[in-house]
Amino acid sequence: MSALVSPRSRQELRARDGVKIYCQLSAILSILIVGVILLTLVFQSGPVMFAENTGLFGTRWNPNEGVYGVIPMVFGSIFVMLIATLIAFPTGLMTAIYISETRSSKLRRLFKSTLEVLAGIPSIVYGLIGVAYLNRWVANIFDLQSGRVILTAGILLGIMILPTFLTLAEDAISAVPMRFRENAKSLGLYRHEVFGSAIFPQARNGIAGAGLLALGRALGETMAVMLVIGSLDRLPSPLFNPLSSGQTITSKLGREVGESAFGSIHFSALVFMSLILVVITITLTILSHYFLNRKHAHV
Amino acid sequence: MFKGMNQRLLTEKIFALMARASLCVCVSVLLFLLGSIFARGIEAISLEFLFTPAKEFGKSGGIFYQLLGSLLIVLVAAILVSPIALGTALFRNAYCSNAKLTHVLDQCLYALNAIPSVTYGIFGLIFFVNLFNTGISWFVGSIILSIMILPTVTLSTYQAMACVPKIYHENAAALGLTQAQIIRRITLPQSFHGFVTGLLIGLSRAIGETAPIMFIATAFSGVQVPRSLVEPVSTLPTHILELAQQASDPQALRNAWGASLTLILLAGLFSGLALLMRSRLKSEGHR
Amino acid sequence: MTLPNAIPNLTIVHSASEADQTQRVQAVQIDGFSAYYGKNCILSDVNMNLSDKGVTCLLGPSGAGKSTLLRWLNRINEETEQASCSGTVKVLGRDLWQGYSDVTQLRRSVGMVFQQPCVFPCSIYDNMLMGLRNLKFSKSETKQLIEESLKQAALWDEVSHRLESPATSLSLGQQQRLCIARALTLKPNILLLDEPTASIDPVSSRAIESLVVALGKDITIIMVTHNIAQTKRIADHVVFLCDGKIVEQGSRSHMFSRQSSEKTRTYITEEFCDC
Repeated sequence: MSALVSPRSRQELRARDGVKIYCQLSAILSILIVGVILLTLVFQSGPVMFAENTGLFGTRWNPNEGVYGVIPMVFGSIFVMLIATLIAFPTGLMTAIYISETRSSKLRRLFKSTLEVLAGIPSIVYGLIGVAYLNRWVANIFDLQSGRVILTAGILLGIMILPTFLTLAEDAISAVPMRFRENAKSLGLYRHEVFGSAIFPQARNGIAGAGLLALGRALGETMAVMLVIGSLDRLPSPLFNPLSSGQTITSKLGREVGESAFGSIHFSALVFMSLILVVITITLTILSHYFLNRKHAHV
Repeated sequence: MFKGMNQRLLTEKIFALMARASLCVCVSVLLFLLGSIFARGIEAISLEFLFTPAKEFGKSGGIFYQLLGSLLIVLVAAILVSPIALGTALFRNAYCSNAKLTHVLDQCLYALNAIPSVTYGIFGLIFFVNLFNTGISWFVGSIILSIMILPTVTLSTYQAMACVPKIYHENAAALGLTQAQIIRRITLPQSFHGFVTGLLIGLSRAIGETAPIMFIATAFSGVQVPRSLVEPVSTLPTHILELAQQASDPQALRNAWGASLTLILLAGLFSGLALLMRSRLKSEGHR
Repeated sequence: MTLPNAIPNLTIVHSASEADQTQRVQAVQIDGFSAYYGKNCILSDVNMNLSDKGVTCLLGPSGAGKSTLLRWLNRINEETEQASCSGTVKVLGRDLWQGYSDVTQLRRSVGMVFQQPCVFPCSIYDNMLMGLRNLKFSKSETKQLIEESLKQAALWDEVSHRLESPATSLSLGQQQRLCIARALTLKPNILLLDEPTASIDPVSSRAIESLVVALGKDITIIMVTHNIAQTKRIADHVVFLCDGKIVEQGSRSHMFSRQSSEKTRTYITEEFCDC
């Protein structure tokens, strides 16, 4: 009996080990990749952090003078993100409410699949639309010489993150069971009160997750912003003037990484900005997953 | 007291109005985007446009080599990502009993998803192009794109694996199958659709990416079919980028719209296949 | 205390003379009412009059359209996809659609409790507050209303010391009584109950039954049930529905001893219906 079993099991043992080792290696590689990326960024941003007189946290950026202040870019990123948020969040949330409260599942399906199409449009194409239309419209409306300003980038970015936010927010709202709506409505509440007192408290985590994920997208978006923001490495004056040209971290990277010499302080300053960006977006995404998972735990 | 009621009604009306207005805004943005891309793109696109090489820095001629370059770079990325994604998903599903490790693995995948695409480009530039001294190379572009779509593919595969009913495993184990056999006979066949769906979605994302490959894998003009791993190619997204920067030239703009429509149709093809895959397998599952 | 939602000349009655006045208005009048889901006809040509206070049971096998009928009475069924209806319905003397300037006014005078207890994930007190919050009552009035309603629902003794604890910590039976109390905060003239005891243990069911009987002395209660024994215990008036039609209706004694229809008799004695 044992003679019958043992040769088979030895073979199986080898096969099992093979598969197991392969899986373990893949998983280790996946984790390693993240580590290597982060370490590479940290090491390469070392030179600018330890170099002297670079004015790293100042407001001037001028590679010719060896001054690399990242503040204008960080400010630009946040400013553009704020404009995009102001456009995308209210519109997205109200539309999500409309879609989830509608009685027609056909309309819902249609809208959801169109949103998927929108989310699939590459960012460079959004950039092209910005260059070909938005840019000129903004210039005409505000009577500017060029429409390549922070506002244009913000609007374009708002349009780009709208599908992401809208779909996820709608999922969160629709996940609240129908009976809560019916019970709240039976108490004679208006629709906005039903949403405010019965639906929103339960969908809050999901909506927050959707918002954070969209913020992360907005911060990391490169191509479209780069084409329409005007690339001016200065703080706008006055500070919150959306009609001046600006620069975000990503647009700066997109413009200058190709031009700077590898190993130079200039390059290192760019990598440093990229590191700032990565830290923010990873934090946002992990936070958003925390919220989204908590939503599931609740329901 | 009646005043209170009127206020409520007013809020309700405003609320409903805002919801409708938002929907209208969304729909009109949507129609504008799709309408302009299609209207302007169809003007420019033709069989000749697709199959002739670019001339005069893209202003005239077609997009033949860009099309080839894009396809090459993403298909190789798909081949590169497949074994790692499958292995990682299997590990998480079948071998990882440690909750902490699962958590770390998840966070790593989320982090990969969160890293902005331009950062991938910079990483590739530092790590491959300079440290490994490959120079501008399409293959490095493929590697970077494969890292970028790794979380998409892995998570999709893993989700499909998690959906395989536990009872299958238990029955197979009760029949005396080893873990490796269970994987081969049960887990893989039952979750393969998730892998393919994830791969297709990843492809549709990768083909539209510009930022990760523009420093490391592409050259704008004078590039044909690469003869080795370390040569640049030209791709549709980077081509559109160059043309968009000359947007004042109507001829360049026209070609940019043509290339955009081609790109979107390609991306749509991949995600459409993914959708088809999902729905077909769903209906099979019901039978 | 009058509630702002109360319809003029239909306020909650406190004195006998007022009561006489309101008696003239019929609680529910249904004429030639049909209801559909998509193209499926759920109810056809239903006629029904309820003039009295008391407990009316809609009795019948599952799929008879009892719940659909009930859900149309406060128009909650409008929220359901593909649901439509035709015919005239008058609630409290007013047309269901034209008579109420907006639907919330109707729903405040026609309360509803569903089959599955559904408390909102907040405290017991906040649950009770849900319908009142926007009606501009003073704090003391609100408190008093909530206490009254909880007492009416025979829940006050069990929860008075822990109004701030989460409502989900209550047992299912308590949750259902909380739902009833919540509906009562608005002092509805009609209370609709959709199989309120179906998902609850027998002991709690009995508690809810006696609660329903007590409430029936003051307001009109319409309750869906397929439980014949329950109907026998609590109903003043019984409407027997089968396959989307009213087979027979009448007082409890009529329905259980002198029923005219053979179908009613078989259903009541054998719990079986072949329509």
